[in-house]
Amino acid sequence: MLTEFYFFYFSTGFYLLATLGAIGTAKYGKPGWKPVLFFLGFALAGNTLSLTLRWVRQGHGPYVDFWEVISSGVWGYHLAIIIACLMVERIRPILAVVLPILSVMVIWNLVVEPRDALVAITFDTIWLPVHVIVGKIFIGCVVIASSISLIILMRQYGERQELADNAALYFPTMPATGALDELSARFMLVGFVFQTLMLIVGAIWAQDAWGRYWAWDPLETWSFLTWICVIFYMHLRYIQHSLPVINACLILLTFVLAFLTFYGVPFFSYAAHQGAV
Amino acid sequence: MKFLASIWLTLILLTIAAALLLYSRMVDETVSGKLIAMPLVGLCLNLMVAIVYNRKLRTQGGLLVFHLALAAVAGLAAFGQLSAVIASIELTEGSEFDPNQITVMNGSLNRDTLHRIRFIQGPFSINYKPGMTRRETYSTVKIQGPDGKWDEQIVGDHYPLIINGYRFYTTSNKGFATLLSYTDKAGQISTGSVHFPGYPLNEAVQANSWTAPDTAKTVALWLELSAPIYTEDAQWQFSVPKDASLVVTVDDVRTTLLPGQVMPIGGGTLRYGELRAWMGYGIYYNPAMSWILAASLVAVCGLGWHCFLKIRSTPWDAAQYSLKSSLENPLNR
Repeated sequence: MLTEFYFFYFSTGFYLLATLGAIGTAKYGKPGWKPVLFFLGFALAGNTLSLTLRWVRQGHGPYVDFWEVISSGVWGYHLAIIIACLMVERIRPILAVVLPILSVMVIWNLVVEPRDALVAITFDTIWLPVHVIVGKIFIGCVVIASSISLIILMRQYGERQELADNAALYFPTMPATGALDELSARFMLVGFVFQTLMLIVGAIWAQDAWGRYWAWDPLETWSFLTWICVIFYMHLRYIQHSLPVINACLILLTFVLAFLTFYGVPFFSYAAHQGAV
Repeated sequence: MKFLASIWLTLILLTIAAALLLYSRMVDETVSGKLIAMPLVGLCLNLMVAIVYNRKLRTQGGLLVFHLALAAVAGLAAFGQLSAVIASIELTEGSEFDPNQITVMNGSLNRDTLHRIRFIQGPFSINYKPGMTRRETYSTVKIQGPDGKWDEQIVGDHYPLIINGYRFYTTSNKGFATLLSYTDKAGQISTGSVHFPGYPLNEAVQANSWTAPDTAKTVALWLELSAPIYTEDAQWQFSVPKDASLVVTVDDVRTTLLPGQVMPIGGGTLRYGELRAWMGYGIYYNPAMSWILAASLVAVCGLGWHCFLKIRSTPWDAAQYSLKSSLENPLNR
């Protein structure tokens, strides 16, 4: 077995351990958010080493074979979550919501068979890694905003079901719903800037590779739809002053669209710009 | 007038533009660029009116730049729909680019400029990795410079030949072409090439038909290769086989010709000159695209500036924010 896979399994173990730790901390107060972040740190270090070794061995970044695309996605989302939790301490309980969801992706990564794929001739450009990096920052921001949104929706659900005296029963140590709404909007704002950059850099790459900046291939069209969805959210949030629960739903819709664009479209698109596959 | 500035109109126009684009991609490629340009012009106007009507857009510099740039992108995209050309052509080794042979054209402006393009297709090579994985293409073309001299240039999948703003890219589409000469009853010689379907994709169907210039007689042509030119599990390079023969079927009578051989057809004679290769090119032209890119960069700068100011006003780790939507909602406590 190649060394990169030892590090991959090491990181997978720690990702799952961090997930269990986050659920335990949310429910029983143990082992605490700091140990969970440490577990995540170990997992991320292993994941980084695994991806780096693969990059060096193959001579191209983790954006060709589907296994490495998922692995680099797992890496990017966890890195975004760690940064957010270090920046804003009070949102650490989102780990209990987001890590179980990301665990599905971690397990998905385990069942996909890794292949050594050749990078296509048209992928041999500096714009591709730049496109991938800004894209990862965008979706990382959306993952954080979505996690916060899930908590807003859980609180709303709690209130509707009259399960508690107040809506803050779910994750009481976290900021008020209004503050969470503002936090998620901030992450969406940052994400929006990087999403716009991702589209522009992607267009420059497309011009370099195929002679056109934009050709409405399925991946381009779905990325554009995701961009429109974020614009719609921004206008509702900042101009119509919509309710946090509506904002949360739109953020989750953005996440679903972005996720399907990254990992779904390549399954049924045979266009030149096939993304992950 | 207020409706003209609304975000709902933006959504409606975007939906119309998306529907037209989808229709043109999936159902009918001949949908006019003018039709698709209309909702884009509408989007441009919608954004301009929104800037006039919405004070917030005018007073916040970053937002203003962002929306103005988006309006420019929409307007330029409309212009692009009218002026862009997307086409393809197959060029035989040794032949000159002929704009009349182009297929699949879009765009309704500036087509005439294609007729000013001159270049000659030279030899090309394509490398394959084991598993029939196509790698680098090196296609030589000869271009006539302003001094009348012919210069050589290598074109590839992402090394285009750029002439008058038109970009020519090699594609995976390539194959073999037979050079035929037909001498009619009057002794007039016509020379041309017949392209066979792309190789190795259509290896099993290397056939085409040809009609003699002075008769209505159509003959069936079949290219007989003694062996495949590729090795599936090893590296190989696309090349023209020397020993390929041409099987000509006229009125159910088959004749096999080797390069240099002739046969009678009607009152004239057909000569199989030699086997050459043809290369398929994708042709792209859109004078608006560079400007769209520039406007998009301005848009992202405006957006980034606006977001930076907005986020800088309160620290990330503050639990209480003074945003309207946070305070006005009953859920916020």
